[in-house]
Amino acid sequence: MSFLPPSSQRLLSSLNPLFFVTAVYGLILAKTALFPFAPRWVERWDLILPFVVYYGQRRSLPEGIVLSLFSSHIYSLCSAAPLGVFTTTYLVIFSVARMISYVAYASTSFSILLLMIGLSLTSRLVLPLVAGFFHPAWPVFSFGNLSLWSILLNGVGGWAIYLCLEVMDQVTNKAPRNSIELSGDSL
Amino acid sequence: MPTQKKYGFLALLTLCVCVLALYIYRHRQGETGRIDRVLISFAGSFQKTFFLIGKGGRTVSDHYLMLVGTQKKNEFLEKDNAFLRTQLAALQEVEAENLRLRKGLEFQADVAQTLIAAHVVAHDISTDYHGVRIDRGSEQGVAQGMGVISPSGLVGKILRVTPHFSDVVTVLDPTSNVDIVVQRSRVRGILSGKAGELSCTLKYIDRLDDVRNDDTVVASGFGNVFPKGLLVGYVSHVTPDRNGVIKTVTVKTAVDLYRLEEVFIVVPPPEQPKTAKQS
Repeated sequence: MSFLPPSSQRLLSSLNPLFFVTAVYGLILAKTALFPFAPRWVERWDLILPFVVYYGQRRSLPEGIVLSLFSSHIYSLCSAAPLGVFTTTYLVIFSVARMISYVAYASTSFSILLLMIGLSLTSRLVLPLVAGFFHPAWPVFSFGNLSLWSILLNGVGGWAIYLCLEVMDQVTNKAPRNSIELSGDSL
Repeated sequence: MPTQKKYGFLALLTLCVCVLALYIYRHRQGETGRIDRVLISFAGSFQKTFFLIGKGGRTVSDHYLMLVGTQKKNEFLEKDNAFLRTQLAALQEVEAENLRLRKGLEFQADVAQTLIAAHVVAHDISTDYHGVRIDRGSEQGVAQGMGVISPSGLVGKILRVTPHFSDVVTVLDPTSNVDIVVQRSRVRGILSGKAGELSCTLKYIDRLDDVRNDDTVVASGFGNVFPKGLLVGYVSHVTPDRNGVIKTVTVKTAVDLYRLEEVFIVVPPPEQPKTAKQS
């Protein structure tokens, strides 16, 4: 989008969070209304996870938290889970992704893939704990919670979505968090 | 991490936890705020369109691309079979009830319940929970806690209501609890879903209770949420507990909740005004 005048580029950059929220909303609608007709193996694909990980790695803290909470709230509204289960789970994932970003900022394809696989495993460990807190009958220590297929699907699928989000940032001229931080002006 | 940044991160995280606690407190027991209602209504209208597109796609693929004719016939037979099974279960329930009445129990006529027809517009986003969204809401008379059924049997209960859409928590959901009766032996229990699985568990079944494989499980009718004797499912597995006190009973639901398209909401009968005054 470098052919656009600077004012339009700034406008595009400021609209970036709106594009992200719209993308989350669109994917949630597709998952709830179209995935029931798709083959069963895609059902375990968690479409929000890469967004939350991306917010944790690439966004400023306040922006990342607001986007994560909003995305997970929309997600919660499309589930029979008690409101708060997914919001808490994704907030934990966001915090983990954020803390990892201070140690290892995933920028290569391989590191992103590793990050997504690691965090999809983390999400499968965190969700039963949070769900068990909300509903005591939940089988917290069941091996069924750790489906290998689900972890792989979310790792590889999440990696693909993560790369798309990077492209979306480039198209909308959104400056990456690490370059903002290097200039020493944000959290 | 520099100290200033660390404190900033911790402060924001603490604030988030407080906001989250308030948010969970505010949304307890399925309450929905104005913003939530707008979000659900907005999503619901899109989901309805998407679901119709998906349904159309599946119809094309099933009826024209896969097996022309056979699929249709099979569907018809399946529906017919489900209908006959429901009728059979209902008749067996009537027979058992008559037998019990003959033994001297007091008879109370079942109150005819009103049904509201609805279409499923979306399924649960998570595979760990099992819910569906339907296109009927408070403006059509739907209220939280009402029972939801289908011609094949019991589906679940209304969890959240907005003016035009409602969320249903199905019997497969781990947070759902339905009072049931094993039709043959009249053993009572609570049916609850299993996380991430497509079967339910019967809770509180004593090791001495007579429950066998293929037993029919029906709604007990307690609380006027579901019609008494409504088909719920069939016992698929019975295993004694390790401690030997209770049995683990797995039930397969009669309704295929993944291919659910039309449902009925059970409107409870109006409460009778109390006429007798206590002296």
